[in-house]
Amino acid sequence: MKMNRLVRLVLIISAFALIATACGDDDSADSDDGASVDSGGDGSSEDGDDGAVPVEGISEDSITVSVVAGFSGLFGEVIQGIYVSGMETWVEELNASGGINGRQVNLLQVDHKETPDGGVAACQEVLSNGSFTAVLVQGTEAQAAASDCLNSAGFTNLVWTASDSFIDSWEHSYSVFPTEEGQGELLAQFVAENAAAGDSIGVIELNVPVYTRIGDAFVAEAEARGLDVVDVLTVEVGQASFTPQVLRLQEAGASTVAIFVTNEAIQIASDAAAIDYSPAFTGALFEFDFVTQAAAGLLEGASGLRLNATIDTSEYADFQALAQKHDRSGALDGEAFLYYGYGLLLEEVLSQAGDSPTSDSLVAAIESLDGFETGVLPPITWSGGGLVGSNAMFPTVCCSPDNTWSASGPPISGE
Amino acid sequence: MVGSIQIGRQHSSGFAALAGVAVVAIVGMTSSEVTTFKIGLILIFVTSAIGLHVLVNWAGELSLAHAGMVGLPAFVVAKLSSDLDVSPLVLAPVGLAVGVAVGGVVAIAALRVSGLYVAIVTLAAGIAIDRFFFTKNWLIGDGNLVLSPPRLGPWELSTARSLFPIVLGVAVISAVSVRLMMQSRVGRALSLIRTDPSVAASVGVNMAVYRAGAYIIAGALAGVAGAITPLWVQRVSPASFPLSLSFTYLSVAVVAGSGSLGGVVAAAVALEGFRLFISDTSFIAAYIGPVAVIVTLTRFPGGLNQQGRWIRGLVAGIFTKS
Amino acid sequence: MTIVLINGFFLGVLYGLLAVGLVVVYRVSRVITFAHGEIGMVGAFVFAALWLDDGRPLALAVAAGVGVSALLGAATELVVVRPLRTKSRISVMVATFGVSNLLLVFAVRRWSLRPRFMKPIITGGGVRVSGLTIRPIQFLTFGVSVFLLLALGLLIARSSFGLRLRATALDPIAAAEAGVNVNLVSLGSWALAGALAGLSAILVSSQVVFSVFFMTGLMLRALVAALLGGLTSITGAFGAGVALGVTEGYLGYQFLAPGVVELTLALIVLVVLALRPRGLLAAEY
Repeated sequence: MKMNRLVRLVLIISAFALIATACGDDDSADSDDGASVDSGGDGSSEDGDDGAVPVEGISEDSITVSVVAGFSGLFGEVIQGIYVSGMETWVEELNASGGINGRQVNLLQVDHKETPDGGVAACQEVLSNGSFTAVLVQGTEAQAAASDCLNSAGFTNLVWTASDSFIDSWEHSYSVFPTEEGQGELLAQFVAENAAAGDSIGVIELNVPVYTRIGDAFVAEAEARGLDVVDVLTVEVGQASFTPQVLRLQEAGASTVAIFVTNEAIQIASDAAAIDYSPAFTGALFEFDFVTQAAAGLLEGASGLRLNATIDTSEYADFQALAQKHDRSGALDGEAFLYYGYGLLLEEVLSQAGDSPTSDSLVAAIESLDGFETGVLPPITWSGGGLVGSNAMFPTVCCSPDNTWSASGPPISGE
Repeated sequence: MVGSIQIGRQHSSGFAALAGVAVVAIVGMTSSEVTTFKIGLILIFVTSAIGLHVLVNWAGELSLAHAGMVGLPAFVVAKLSSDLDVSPLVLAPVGLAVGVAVGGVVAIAALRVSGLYVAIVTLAAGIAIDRFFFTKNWLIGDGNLVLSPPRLGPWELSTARSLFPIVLGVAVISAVSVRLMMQSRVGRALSLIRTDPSVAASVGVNMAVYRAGAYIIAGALAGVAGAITPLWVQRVSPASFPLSLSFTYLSVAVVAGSGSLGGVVAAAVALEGFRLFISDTSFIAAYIGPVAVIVTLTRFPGGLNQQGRWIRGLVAGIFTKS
Repeated sequence: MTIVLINGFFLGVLYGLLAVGLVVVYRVSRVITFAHGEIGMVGAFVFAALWLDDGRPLALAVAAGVGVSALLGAATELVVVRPLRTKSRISVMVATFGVSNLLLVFAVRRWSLRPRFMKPIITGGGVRVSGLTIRPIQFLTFGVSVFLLLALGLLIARSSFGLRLRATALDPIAAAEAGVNVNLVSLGSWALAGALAGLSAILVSSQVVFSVFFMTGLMLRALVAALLGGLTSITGAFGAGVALGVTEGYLGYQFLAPGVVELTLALIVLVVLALRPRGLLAAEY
């Protein structure tokens, strides 16, 4: 009797589960987790033309694109603000002016949660949410996992950057910027070109993989170029004082200190000042305006390379005017400007994909770009057959009167 | 009479567990890839949380190194798999062994102290694992270890659905093993140590051995969870095992409360499920996690297990009436 | 090397100051609070908003910041600690972790997670010692710490509140039977610890990168200091904090391999506790 009841219970629950999964969840339109936010349109997949083969993410009047970033968690609100100010400003303006070849662009937010498992889940969501393509705009290990997973599925996507090891194994993921190692090498070239005779270099890296990947590549390239790297030191996240490290570099006679950190740059500069050590600071991942603004003059004279143009450019003024036109009251800064740049790049790619976009025409469009200029991003070229869109970055120096970074010349390219 | 009610309760919870597994199996095998993948992540989380449940709610011990105890086996399996081109499936016992070893080392550190001192000792161990081991190229590669989809004979298990039975099986075997151990002499001894150490000592329970055993059991389950992570996600990086994850695990164990596995499964599903299935920056979504932990602890101090008892009693009543 | 040791001393003063707040809480509630840093952080941000953004007088801003932290400490006692008084200490510890998360979420949403500039509450050229400039704010922090050590020592040892605090810590039931308002003593202690957190955070805020996470890393060190000091000894916690700062500076200067400082500090904790399982200076009541 008990067993009969048990069997009945299992059967009833199973039946409910089957009905629930059959009704609410399938591979073609997975919206069960609420992770997708449709910024307009229905995001469905329909025939592009009567009789034509249906293309995922393309309908008669819309193109659906996933934007992958860390939209949730503690960092989520900041990323969300940047996304709205940058990419939504772009897409609203684009759609108001008729869209792309008569199609409105719908952006779907997909959250990678800043973890590799979240990245894989984001990838699977992109594969099932009816997107034509995806652009991965932010993150490190999470976006690498997402882009790698999309690549494995043969899904063409644009990712902001990746490490050399990924790029070497990819076929369908296109990096917008130089690889992480490429950024380190480009910085070494920049430092070498500006070095005076007898300069020696000290290096401080944050003990986190993305920082050490860029830092180590910098060191290797700097040494290959004959620069004198006197010491390479590692610091920890949350470290309260960097006096031991800057003292070591001072004692080693480093005239230039390359730092591969973010917020820690402020404390490093402060601790250096406390021991009367004033090297030329350069490095990567600290060239954000919010860092120099919080440093309030401590990083004056620091130089480096940025992925996108600084906010003292005419392009930023244009973006600002556009954002105000669209009533963007949130974050308007260098990061929102960067996201706006992604929008402009996406617009070009989708336009080049033709009146009847297909996955093949998308690839052809990407690979047709040759020195595409936005004024926000460095010139993008995928026409040479590689997966890296740009091997250039913007030289920049600290600081403008409002403590933001200033442009110090046109983008410089890797040799 | 009391005995028959007891048996009825055991049966009813067994039936409920069986029904639960059946539902998870059906949902996992019939849902989209993304849903199945997330359910698999929850199962892995549940497996490792059960280990901490044993440690906290049975043995009365504590660990803030659990993320490291999961992460270290995951990296060892992933690195070996990547370097030797061996399926992580084959290397699962290595993960288990590493988990046991890490549990043993943490036990050595924790056994000398007691109470909240254990929290700091294990936190120090967790920080050392995170900052030292999870930054070494010989263990983590360049920070992103990527594995090929595992193979089973001629078949490549490239989809979440194809791998789901393995992950579900591992989670179920882990839970059943712990459940059986709970009912054995080991479980009774651990429980006695937690509730009354002096009585435990007086009846000849070797406290040090059992306390160390609890850490090793926690390490073993963490090792199993760590070993199947590379199999399931196929990408491992230090970002997968942040220090804060140890606090999440501890929150799960405390919210579950002492008692059976039902509470820890419910707490783990709720916390990890929320993280994975809710992607929202709204006011409510931001605050609900910490608020849920505080409310559960202060309003239902016995944890979910205590709250679940009346449900189990209800179900037991239905079956015993027949 | 002298520079590193002097700098480590002043860094250790920060650890010690924060560790003292943890001891105040532990003495009365027998719990390690993970919310101490975030309670102070919110107070420091309130202070910054009033002083730097709104241009309010310094004293008013400090009072408001410390007051907000004291209120948060008291609220934590009322909402989290009191309902769990008879429950496992681990439950209370996890609940304070929940409070910490809650305050972090609030702070990120209110003040963003980006760093911001924080002006020290006293400025000046500083004093040059062996090639290291010690800034006025560092001397002030040291002075305030010494004052607080003395004041807290007197409060606990000599005042009637201290007597009730010690009685509550020893045996809350017996203390209640003897007429001690245990609830009030507990509430007062948490408010006091909150105020300490706020004051500490205001002093610390201009010495490190000021973002909503500025207390998180420091609190891990402070926890270790409180533990090594014996959890119940204010002087022990402060001394351990200073020792930790100096040791960290020395290790950071001597050992260059990634993660070695953290590994070595963890080993020191394990060895010290293996030799003295109740810390170096566990105080009697």
